[in-house]
Amino acid sequence: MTMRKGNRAYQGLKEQKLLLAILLIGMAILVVPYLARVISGDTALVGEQSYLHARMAEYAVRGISQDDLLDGGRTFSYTTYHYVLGLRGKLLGIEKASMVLPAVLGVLSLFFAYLLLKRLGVDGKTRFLILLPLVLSPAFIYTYTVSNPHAFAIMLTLLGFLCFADDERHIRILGAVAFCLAAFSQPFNAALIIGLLLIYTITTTMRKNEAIIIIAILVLIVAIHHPASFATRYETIPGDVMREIISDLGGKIGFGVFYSILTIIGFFASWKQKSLHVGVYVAVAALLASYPLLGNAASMYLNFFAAYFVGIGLVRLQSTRWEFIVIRNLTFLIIICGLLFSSISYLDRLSHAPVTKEMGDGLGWLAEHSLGDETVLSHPSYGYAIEYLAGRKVMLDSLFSSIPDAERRRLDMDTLFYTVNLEEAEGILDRYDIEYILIDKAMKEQLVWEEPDQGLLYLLPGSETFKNVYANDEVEIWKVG
Amino acid sequence: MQSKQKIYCLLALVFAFSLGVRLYFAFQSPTFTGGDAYFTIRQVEHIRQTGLPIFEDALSYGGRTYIFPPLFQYVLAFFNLFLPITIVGKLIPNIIASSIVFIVYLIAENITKNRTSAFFASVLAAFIPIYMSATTNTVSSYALVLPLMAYLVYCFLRIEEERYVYRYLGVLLIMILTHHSVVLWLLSLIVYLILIRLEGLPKNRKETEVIMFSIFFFVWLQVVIFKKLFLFHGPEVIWQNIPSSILANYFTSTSILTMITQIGTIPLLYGMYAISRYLFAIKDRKISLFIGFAFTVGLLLWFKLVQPSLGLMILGIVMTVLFSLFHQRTFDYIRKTRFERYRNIFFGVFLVTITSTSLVPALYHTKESVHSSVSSETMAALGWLQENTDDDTVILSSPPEGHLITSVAQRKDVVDTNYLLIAGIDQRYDDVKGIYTAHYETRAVKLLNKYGVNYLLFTPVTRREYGIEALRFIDNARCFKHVFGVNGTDIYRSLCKI
Repeated sequence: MTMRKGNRAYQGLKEQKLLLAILLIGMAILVVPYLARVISGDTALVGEQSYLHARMAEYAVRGISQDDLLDGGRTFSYTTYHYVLGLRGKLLGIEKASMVLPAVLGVLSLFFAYLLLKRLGVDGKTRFLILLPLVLSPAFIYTYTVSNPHAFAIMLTLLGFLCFADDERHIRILGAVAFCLAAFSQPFNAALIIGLLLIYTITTTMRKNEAIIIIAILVLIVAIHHPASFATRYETIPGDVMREIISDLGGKIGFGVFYSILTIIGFFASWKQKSLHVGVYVAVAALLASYPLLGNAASMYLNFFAAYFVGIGLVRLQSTRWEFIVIRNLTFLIIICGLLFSSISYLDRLSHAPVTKEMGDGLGWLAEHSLGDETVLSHPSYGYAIEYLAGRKVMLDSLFSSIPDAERRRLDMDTLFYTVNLEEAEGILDRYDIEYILIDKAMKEQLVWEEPDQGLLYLLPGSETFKNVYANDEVEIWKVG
Repeated sequence: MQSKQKIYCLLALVFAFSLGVRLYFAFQSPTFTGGDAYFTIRQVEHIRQTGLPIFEDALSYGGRTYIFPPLFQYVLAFFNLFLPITIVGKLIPNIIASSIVFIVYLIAENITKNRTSAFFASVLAAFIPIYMSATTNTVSSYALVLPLMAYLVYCFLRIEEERYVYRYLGVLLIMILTHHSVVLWLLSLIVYLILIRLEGLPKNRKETEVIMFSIFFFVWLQVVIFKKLFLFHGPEVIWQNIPSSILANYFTSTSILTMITQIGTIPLLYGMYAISRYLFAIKDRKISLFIGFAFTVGLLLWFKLVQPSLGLMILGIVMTVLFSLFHQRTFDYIRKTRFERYRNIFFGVFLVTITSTSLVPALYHTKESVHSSVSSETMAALGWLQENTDDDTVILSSPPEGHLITSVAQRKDVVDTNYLLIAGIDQRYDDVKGIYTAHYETRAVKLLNKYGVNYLLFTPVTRREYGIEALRFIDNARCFKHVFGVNGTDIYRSLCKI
């Protein structure tokens, strides 16, 4: 009896160490992109949408809903995350809060995911093999490095399910509150929680009544709070889905190649107990189907299910009887190297991602030398940074869903970028009152143009309409005369 | 005939004959066939001088980055320490390519357990038309890749023996560091596993382990080595950034007629018969491996996802191995019938057929390949450019001659046949075509200015490439000065600016 107690205590201690190790690894990884930037003297936020949410958070706590920094104006729709970020911003400053909050949410998500897996009866080894690849995955790193509302919604959803699966009634009420807060993010989050609750109650036949009440509340929240869009896409959706899904092919919120292979292995390994996993299959299928609505942000949610399959795949590989011990050892070494390589490569990419120091300098110049109501033309993916750092209007940013005539603006922008007809270019510039044009190296190297004298690049130096007023190694700014 | 020593002597003779024929053709021309040969030579010379390949090239496209597995170049660079590069380029690839004789023998002997059939398969392998023509005078890494791939297959067939596991791992590493075509082998292994499952054959744990390791190892090395390529091109890297206007011709659809002439009638027909027989009537683990290989390569050829020459070479070797099965069965069958007394006549007919359908096309295609090597006029023009132009001079040529500009003339080119990591390749390719086919001087000068071109190389290859007889815009001595001309190979200096 004493010995069994001792074993249990040892097991508990081991689990605590395991959990601590995962949380520490998670924290260390999430700190790397900003640490690398700070070391190279760059304190700018990572990622395009960080700047949008920083501005939205400031507006949210100040009670402003109208955004005038887009030519023509628009109304913001805030999520719970924006209020939380805004409130933290009052303590730390909004930029520091945008750096710290996602990492905190990441660690909390890991903690809740660990406890949830434990509650669902997943053994210690599998839990470790699920969470370690999850921490190393590029999609996880993006979710909890770049400030975005999905990070908060995922954390709340995990907390909600952790509490919902608890035996204590008051803890389940806490879970319901977490679900409601998550549902305030986007109707998509409410739909996801409703779907997962249905799967949980159908497969376990537990707490049906409570689930029905929560679903009813969530539907009510969606009906009152979100009359319009189902899912808001904060970033430009790339045309090449395959490239976006695989981070090693350049995907922004993607999965590493090894992670993907292990997911497939885990999927097939789980098929032997398909009745146990049917809920996970349905959730994965639903999330895959949500790609057209949510864009690459769907990967943030899908990542947690993929990690589950990765864990199963690794357990399967590890528990299989191998004929060649050398091959087994080499295979595991390569898997570890492969997972690490994808993470390191992604961390490096993320730490050098826009907005760069040079872009920050260029926008600083613009803030000082232009007037408050002047409009700037650049690539839509730089729109949020121009609005936040320079405080100037843009013709178009990536929040297309909030711009009524976004499609027309996009067509006009394309015409402007690719025309060699000065009159046509001047017509569009007049229509949107564009005073400045900001061009960077990435735009010249395939983001917009492929040739050094293509379209607007041909017109800029040869015309009296445009005057080069600023230039550094990466950025040049032209004044429209 | 059946004695081991006798067979080895015969194999040595076939090897020597194959090598002799190859060297005879290779030394018919003082130059090499195709611009890619000169790219390899430039890399080899650079490795010999500095110990490293050129990854950052200031000449190609006026400055670009290369990413490629360099093992083949290192092998040649090693021999270049003792022999001149021309001899290395002609001799070493042919010696390596001829070694296919031994490896195909080992494979065929392993699956048929019949030395005579294995011997004939090895004879056919030595004279697969596409293999011979593509590796004789081209300094192509295929000369090393195909024998390595064949040895990889042989090791896999004997994977039950531990020493072959280590050999397999070693060869796999060498192959990955030589050429990306190892992906075809890995895809074939996946198809093989599916075939085994469909046929209800028992699982072999050792095979599964090796296959899984191979896939992980390959993927990892590719991600590490080609990270930049993947990030730059994304999934389109499979098409190697080839300009869209030549993509349709580059991955040309492969007809049965092409396959017959390039692989050889007998191996192709016998191979196809063996596939149908073993796929539907007899279940055999080893043969399923080759069926999987043929199926994978055939499918990739069909969908234009593999370079036709590479696909046909692999298919040729697979069909040759499968041919050994048919040979064995046919002559075993004849022995059991009343036609036994005509066995020698059958054998004679068989030899004549092999000679006329494999050896003759192989010699013909190899001769054609050697004939299309870089002409002495072009070499003279390149020599002139090297002697009479500044180091930073930009020279325009058609893409197939681009590597000649960087390798022989050692000057900057505008375009060559290595399109990877080049932004706006479609525009560049069209611009070069636009210059050569321009009707008016203004357009040509404008485009020449765009790329800072100082000289234009105009050769019979350029004429063929763009279907033109002459440069129509050159009638103004003020803008274009004819500085070199020998037998239809001309160099013009571009003088005007717009």
